[in-house]
Amino acid sequence: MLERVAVTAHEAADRTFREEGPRLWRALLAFTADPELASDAMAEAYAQLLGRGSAVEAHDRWVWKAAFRIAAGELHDRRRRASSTTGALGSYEMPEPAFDLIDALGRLSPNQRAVAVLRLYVDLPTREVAHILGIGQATVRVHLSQARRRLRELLEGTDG
Amino acid sequence: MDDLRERFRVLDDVDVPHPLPLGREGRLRVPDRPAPHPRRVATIAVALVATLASLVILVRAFRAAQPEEKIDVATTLSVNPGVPVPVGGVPNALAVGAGGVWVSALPTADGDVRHLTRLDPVSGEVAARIEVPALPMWEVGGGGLLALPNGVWVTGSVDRAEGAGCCGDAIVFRVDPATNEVAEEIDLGPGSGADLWIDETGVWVLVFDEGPEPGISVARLDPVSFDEVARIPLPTDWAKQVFASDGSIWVHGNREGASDRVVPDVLFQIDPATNRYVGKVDLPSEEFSLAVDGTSIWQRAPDGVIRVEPAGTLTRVALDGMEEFCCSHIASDGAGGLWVIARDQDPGRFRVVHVTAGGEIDDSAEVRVPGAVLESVTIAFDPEHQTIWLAQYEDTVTPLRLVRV
Repeated sequence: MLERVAVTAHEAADRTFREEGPRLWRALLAFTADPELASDAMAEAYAQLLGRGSAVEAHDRWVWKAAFRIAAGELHDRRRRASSTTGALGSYEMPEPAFDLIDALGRLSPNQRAVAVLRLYVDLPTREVAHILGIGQATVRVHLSQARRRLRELLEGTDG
Repeated sequence: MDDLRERFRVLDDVDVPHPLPLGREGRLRVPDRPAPHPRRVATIAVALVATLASLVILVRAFRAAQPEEKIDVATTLSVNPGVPVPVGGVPNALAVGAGGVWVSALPTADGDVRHLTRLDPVSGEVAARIEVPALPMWEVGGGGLLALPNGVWVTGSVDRAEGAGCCGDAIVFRVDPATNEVAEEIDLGPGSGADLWIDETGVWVLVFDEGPEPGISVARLDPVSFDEVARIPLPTDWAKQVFASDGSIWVHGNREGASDRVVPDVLFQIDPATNRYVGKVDLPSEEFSLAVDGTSIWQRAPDGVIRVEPAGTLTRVALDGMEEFCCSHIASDGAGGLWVIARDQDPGRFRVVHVTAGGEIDDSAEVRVPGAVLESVTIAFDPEHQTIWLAQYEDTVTPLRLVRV
């Protein structure tokens, strides 16, 4: 019985990975501007998900929350170390409009950036964004409002 | 679909690597936990040594507590940044009064204990860290924290008992500055407390209701018994601030029909004599920062600040050159005027401007604040010690000592 539960949990994680993986990775890339960090955060989130087995019920919600928290933690540590992600994106090939967007996102505060990615790219409802980031819904809306305004300024004049 | 959502679609064109090892059948398999990266191990070792070595330097630096770098002194105003004070977590609200500077800082990890930090207004040293049941909910812009002679008042939300359903309960509590302990605690039912105002007419709490009928309301508590005597629903889906002015209670919030957006260009008016919502006043700006002191209302605008009289008179003050700056914050000076602080694109450089009650700029200075690398989230002004307290996004607050000659 226990083995069956474990298999089921693994299957659910596997399904989440196949269905959500690419979008999660791109969202993490937009949030971190660092392909390596996006991959690390995603791998760590799935590793923790698999490690928890059946203890996690909503796999997709859990893995989004874990991945963004892990990535945010690493970005926080980098700022403390005064190291920068600048240049981490440069060697990764991508269309220019995507590069411009990620560059503009990098000029926002971390939570503005995360909210913008989760609302405008992933299209999650405000309640879900608040759950993932661990902040209130009202605060999500403040961040989104400021991010929209700032992004419009920053992206004005770029192609797209 | 709006234009920004359309812009984000370009991310779908970014090639995705295979970030996780896949099994032979294309299934997810448990990855081996990576060994600590050699660079990380080396970093930790170096950090340990550096930490020990720097402790002596840090202690000496803090003992010296010399005013730090100062640039560009204006004609009459000099701004001396003090040593940034670590408070832990993410500072989100500041209040000055009741014998201290009171700082709310949101915990950075689930399960962390919530603390209110009391700073000495002169030395900036931590005088107390007080465990509290809740903290203000806003991450930027302050609010939810008042320091008055009878105590420090906080509103926020507390988790409900396990099995009592989702979400939390809105709460108001008072910290006694004589004992640094929570003295009163009032539960306002399902929801979150967003802001509060206290005067002789009552304790007015702005609440995001999450009960059977979700919405925005103001709870009025008796100022002596703290019993809830009225709950006044408002026609908005988002609001930031509650305050008194000119005999009315006002709530700064979203216009109706703003959907998912924050467009706070309305003041909703409550008549304290009837406990009813009686009308609204359109604001000239959508900026969500208001500075109020019971006699004046100032709103930030993209190109300056505006003094608002609910009767309709507006005093606009353009802040030339401020467009080069961003992320400004405003705080009442306690005499009807205003302090404005704005961050430059150059990290760490700020402009400090004083606007008189009549709308004249009488002082201005630029200052470089050491360690200010990101954004400030809110400010508070201490008229007694002529200090602007600046909460940084990360984990510090910094006093800016003002000298006007």
